[in-house]
Amino acid sequence: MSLFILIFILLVGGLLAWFSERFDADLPKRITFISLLMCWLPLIPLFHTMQFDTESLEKSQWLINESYDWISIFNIKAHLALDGLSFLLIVLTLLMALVALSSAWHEIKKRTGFFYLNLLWTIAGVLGVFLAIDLFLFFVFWEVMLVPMYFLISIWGHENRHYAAIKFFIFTQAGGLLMLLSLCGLVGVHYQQTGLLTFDYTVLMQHPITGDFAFWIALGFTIAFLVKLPALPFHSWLPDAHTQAPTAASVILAAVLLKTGGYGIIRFVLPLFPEASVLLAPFMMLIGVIGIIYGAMMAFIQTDLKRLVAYSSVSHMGFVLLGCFAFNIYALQGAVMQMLAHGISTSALFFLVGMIQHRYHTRDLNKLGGLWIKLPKLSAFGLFFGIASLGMPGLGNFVAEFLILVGSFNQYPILTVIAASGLILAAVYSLLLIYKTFFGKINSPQDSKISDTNTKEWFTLTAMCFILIYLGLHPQPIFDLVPIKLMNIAFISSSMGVSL
Amino acid sequence: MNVHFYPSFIVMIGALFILIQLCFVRSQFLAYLISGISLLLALLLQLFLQNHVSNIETLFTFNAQTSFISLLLLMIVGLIWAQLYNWLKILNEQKEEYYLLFLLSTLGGLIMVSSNHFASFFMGLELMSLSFVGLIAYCGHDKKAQEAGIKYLILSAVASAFILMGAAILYLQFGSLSFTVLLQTTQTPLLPEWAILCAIIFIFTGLFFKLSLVPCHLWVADLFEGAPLVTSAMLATLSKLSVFIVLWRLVTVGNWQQYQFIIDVLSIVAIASMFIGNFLGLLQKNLLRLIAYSSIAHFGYLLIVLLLINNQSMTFTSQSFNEQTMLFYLVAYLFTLVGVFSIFIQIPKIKTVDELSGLLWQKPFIAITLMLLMLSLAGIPLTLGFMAKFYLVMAAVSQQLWLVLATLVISSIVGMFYYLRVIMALIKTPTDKSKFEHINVDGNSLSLNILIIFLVIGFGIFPSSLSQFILKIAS
Repeated sequence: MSLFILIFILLVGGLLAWFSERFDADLPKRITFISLLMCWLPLIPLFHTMQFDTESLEKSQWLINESYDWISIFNIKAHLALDGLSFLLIVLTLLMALVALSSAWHEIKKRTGFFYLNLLWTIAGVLGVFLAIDLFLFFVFWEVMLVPMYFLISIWGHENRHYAAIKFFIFTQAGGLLMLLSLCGLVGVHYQQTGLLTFDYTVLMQHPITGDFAFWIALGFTIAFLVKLPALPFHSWLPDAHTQAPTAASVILAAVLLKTGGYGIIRFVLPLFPEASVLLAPFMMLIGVIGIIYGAMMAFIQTDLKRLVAYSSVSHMGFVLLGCFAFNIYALQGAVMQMLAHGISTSALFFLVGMIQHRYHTRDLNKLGGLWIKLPKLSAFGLFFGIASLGMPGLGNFVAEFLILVGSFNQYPILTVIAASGLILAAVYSLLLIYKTFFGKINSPQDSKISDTNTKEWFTLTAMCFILIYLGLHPQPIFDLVPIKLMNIAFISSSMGVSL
Repeated sequence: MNVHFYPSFIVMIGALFILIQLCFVRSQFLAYLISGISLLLALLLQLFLQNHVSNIETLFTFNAQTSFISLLLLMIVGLIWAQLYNWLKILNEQKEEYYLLFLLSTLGGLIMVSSNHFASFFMGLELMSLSFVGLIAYCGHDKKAQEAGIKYLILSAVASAFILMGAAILYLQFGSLSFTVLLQTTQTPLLPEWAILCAIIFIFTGLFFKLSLVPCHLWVADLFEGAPLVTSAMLATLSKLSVFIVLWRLVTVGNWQQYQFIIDVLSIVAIASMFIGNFLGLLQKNLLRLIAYSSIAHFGYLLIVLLLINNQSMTFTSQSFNEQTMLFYLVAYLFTLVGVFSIFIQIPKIKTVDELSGLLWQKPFIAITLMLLMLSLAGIPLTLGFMAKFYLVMAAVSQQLWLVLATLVISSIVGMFYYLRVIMALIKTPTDKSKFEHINVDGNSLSLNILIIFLVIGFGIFPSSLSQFILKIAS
């Protein structure tokens, strides 16, 4: 039950937060904080009883496996399971939820109860996506998490929030409907080939479907995940949504919602469609590389700080796509690492932009400058995370990008070389961001009331710094957590004659 | 006498009682009571008849499906009836006749859903249509309602004429008006195929008009806007449900899929309805017009079910799955729609989407109910509407109807825009705090909203019991 409880805590916490608004406007955030902390309780036994060593991982991929009947007519089960990959992403989600809460603490003053309801329900949806093993359930979480996110953007967002919220919702829903079609197609073809009507991932994986349809079904799934990732032709919702969303929603979007796309590819597309993903791989690599270069160049010409960070996300997530389809154990581990490191560094940047906006009421790069004199602590953090984003050795992002490039060089040398130039472009836009905001001429209004980071912000940012440094210096525990899953994919693809 | 007739009889006796009552005393409460008791009795009896043996007569056929559909019909009418009293109280007209016409149209619907003969079908159709003319033009002082009434009268007469013509041609071929003879294709063909096709198209034209499917959809938005609110609700649910059941029975019994032309016509109408319904829905500002176009689109989705009947190229579902799909979709869509209308009845002065703005912060419960209903219409998971769409997609994928599926996906995305617009209006910051003060939330509407949420979300999250029930009925 522990996984269901995990989601349940957040749902109930959200409702409580909403009702508590009647008594005190400050109560919702306290309740949110408590329920986020309580979410760690079901995970604590994992650290003790479950051994994350190779021995126990070899026995079963799943550390916790819970299944209940749900819709018996279609043989749909409420099946949640947790393995190393989902464990990492859940830890990331819960950490970033705390970061989002910290950023919302002073920023959100209107309708706090409804805000925290939506925040907690989004996080519940994301956790569901990372845990659901039944494909139908996965789809349900995938779609449902968008509704509270839509509210977050369209109620508490900035100037152009309605447009951004609708765009976000329609793009992801379109991807979702495509996934629904592919899902039904997958189940249908699987039934034809094996006589088993099932939505269960573990069953579907045992007999991957073959034939012409497999390619189209795989394509449907991949496009749905590419929309979320986001990869190039489907990325245009992201800059708008990020820019208009309140800081907390931006943090959640960047840190975890984008990761559901990468997670979907690693978890579902690669194991379920081994043949088709080999066929798709060259195109996906190409899209990934274009995304890296395009995102970086677009980031470079932005004058809006949040848009700049949003486009840098497009660029960084291109690396994830590259890593997923390189069919190489290093690249895949790099992709997982990139998801974690990007989740932390980018959400930290959004957090900082939110702080700047809260203080100066502008995100325009031309109106900022010379913040270091006024806000030394905040600027120092900005420097750190800007440098993390450009891939400085010693930090998590470097490990990730390095592994992805090493892994994919074997198979796609030319594309990899082009992708590597993305690192230089990343340096360009990151340094531009640092230079224009924190150094240079003082453009910003001189208001003596503007204060530096408060304790809560300082603590949040410091914790994020340490996590990034840890990921950069000692990434081995992370790699140990995800080997068997990656082995599984690598094994399938090697049997398909793809060289490793 | 056949026990299956009793629910219709009770409704008819209720109507007669109201007539008698009108001779002696005019009292809205009495009429409300009589109609309520007769509907409740009919509903209970219908519930009791669920497991009764099936029975086929010359004019009517009674089996598990028709009992279930009659039950669904009575439940929907009951839900609408529950709001009738408060709504009529503020109407500046004679009130008792409304109950009479209300019961008569229900009776027409009940006759239609179990009809097995063109005579009984036509009788039910006319009884329903003529009562609707009265219901639509009920407000004598309202020019828009008068106009809508005339429109409906003329157009529905034309539609009935088409149906009669089609039935006459079929009679030439088969020598009987019973639906069951349509099956006998082994007879020597007296008429050329094109004549039969003509007859089918004539009948389709009439039925498509009632369902407001695309080439015959032009009346629906004006009517929904002009007619009294409860009448619109009845038109959108009762009339469409009973007509769709007849259409489905004719296509199934007559095995009309043997003609490729009919399949083409159905596909084109389905695709056009989905697209045009959803695209025109985008342009609407009036809430009722928006719902009218959304209903065109939804019946376009539902038309996919007709394409599946007797289709041999199934991969993983059985033939009865189509029936389950249809029943589930009807249940889901109609309950959602009744919910939407009952919300509209609770906010009588709000006509356009913009006027809704800020409702969430003033009257949260009504707004949240409406929001969930919109999500259900849009087909977001964990609502009943999504499960219905899932059934439909499963059925269509299993028979590989890629073209209509692609249309379904694209037009649903388009449709999402206007459902979102309603939600967006609800969550806006209100400009004028006093504008919602006329909405009074009494216990009646509150309990009704709770019931609606329970149906739409409860069955959306745990559809198992409903789907098992429907499985039992369809097999």
